[in-house]
Amino acid sequence: MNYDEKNIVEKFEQEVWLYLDQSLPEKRMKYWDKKLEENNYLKNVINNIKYVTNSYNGIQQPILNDERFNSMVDKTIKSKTLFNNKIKQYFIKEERKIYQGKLAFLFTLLIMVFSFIIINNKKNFIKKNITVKTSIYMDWNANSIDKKINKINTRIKLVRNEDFRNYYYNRIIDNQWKKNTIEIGSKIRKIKINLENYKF
Amino acid sequence: MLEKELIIKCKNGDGEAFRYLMLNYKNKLFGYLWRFGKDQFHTEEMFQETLIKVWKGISNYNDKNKFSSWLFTIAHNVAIDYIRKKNLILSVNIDTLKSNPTQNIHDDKFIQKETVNLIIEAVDILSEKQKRVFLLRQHGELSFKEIAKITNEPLNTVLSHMNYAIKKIRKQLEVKYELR
Repeated sequence: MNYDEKNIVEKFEQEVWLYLDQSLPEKRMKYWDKKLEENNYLKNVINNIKYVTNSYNGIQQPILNDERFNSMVDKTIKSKTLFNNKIKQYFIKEERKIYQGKLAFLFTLLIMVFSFIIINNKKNFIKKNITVKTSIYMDWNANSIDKKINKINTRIKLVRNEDFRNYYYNRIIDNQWKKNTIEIGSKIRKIKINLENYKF
Repeated sequence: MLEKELIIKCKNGDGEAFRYLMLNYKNKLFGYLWRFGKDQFHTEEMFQETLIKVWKGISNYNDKNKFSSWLFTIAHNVAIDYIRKKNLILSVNIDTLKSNPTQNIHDDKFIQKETVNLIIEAVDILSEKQKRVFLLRQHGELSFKEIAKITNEPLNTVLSHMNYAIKKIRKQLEVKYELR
C-alpha cells in the first residue's frame, strides 16, 4: 500500500460508519462509491466490519421468557400510580402557566395557614406557662389559708370552752412557749388563791 | 398499533400499552444488559430497574427523539450504576453462552460454538468505552450520533471507539485461528 492509498484508507475509516448508515452528504456518498470500485483496500475495510458485526449478530442472544417478562412489567406498573402520572402531565400541557398560577395561589394560602397555626401555637404556649405558674401560686396560698383556718378552729374551740383568757392570749400571742408560760403562771396564781383560802 | 400511539397511551398511564411497547424491545434490551450483567440474575435485576425508570419517566420523553435511543440511554445508565454498585467486572460469562445453540448469520453460514466463544472473548477484552459503543450499536441498532448523545462523547471519538473495537475483535479472531 503506497502513501496515497494509506491516506485514503485512513480517511475512509473515519467515515466508514457514516457511509454505511448513509448519513454522509450525497456528494460524499458518491465519492466513496466510486473509490470503493477502484480500491480493494477500502473494500477490505468494509469486509472486516461486516465479518465482525455479522459474527457477533450470529451469536444467539440470551432471551427473557414471556412469563418472566410479564411479571416484571406487572411489578413495574404497580410502582407508579396513575395519580403521579396525571400530576406530571399537568406540567407538560400548554396550560402549565394557569396551573402554575393556581399552584402559587395555593402555596400562598398554605403559607398563611401555617403561619396562623404557628402564631396560635405560640400564644397557647405562653398561656400554658402562665397556668402552670398560677397553679404553683395557688398551692402556696392554700398552705397559708390552711394555717389560718387551723388557727380559727383552735380559737373557736377556746370560745366554746369559755376559756376567754386563753382565747385572748391565743389571739394576741402566737408563740407557744410564751403561751404555755402564761398558762402555767395563771395556774400557779390559782393555786396561791386556793392556798390562801384554805385554813389549816 | 404504532409506537407513537403506544407511547401516548403510556403517558396516560396505560399499563397494557407499556407492556406492548416494551415487548418490541424485550430481547434487544435483555441481550444488551446481559453483556454487563453476565448472568440471568444480574441481567434481570438491571432489566427490571430499566423498566421502572422507563415507566416512571415516560411522561418526560420527548417525541422528537427516537424512542429506542431514549430507552437505551436509560438502560446504559442503569447498567453503569448497577456495575458500580455491585462491583461487577465488565466481562461476559462465556459458560452460559456456550450452552446456547448457535443460529444463522446473515450469510446463511453457521458459526461454530468455538467461534462464538472467540467473539465473546474478543468483545470482553475491549476497553470499557469501546465495548459500550460496540454494544449500543449492535444491540440498540442506534446511529452513531445517538450513541454520541448517550455516552456524552463527540461523534468522532465514538466513531474512533467503534473502529478500534472492530479492529481488536478482528485481530483477536485472526490470532486465535492462526494459532490453531
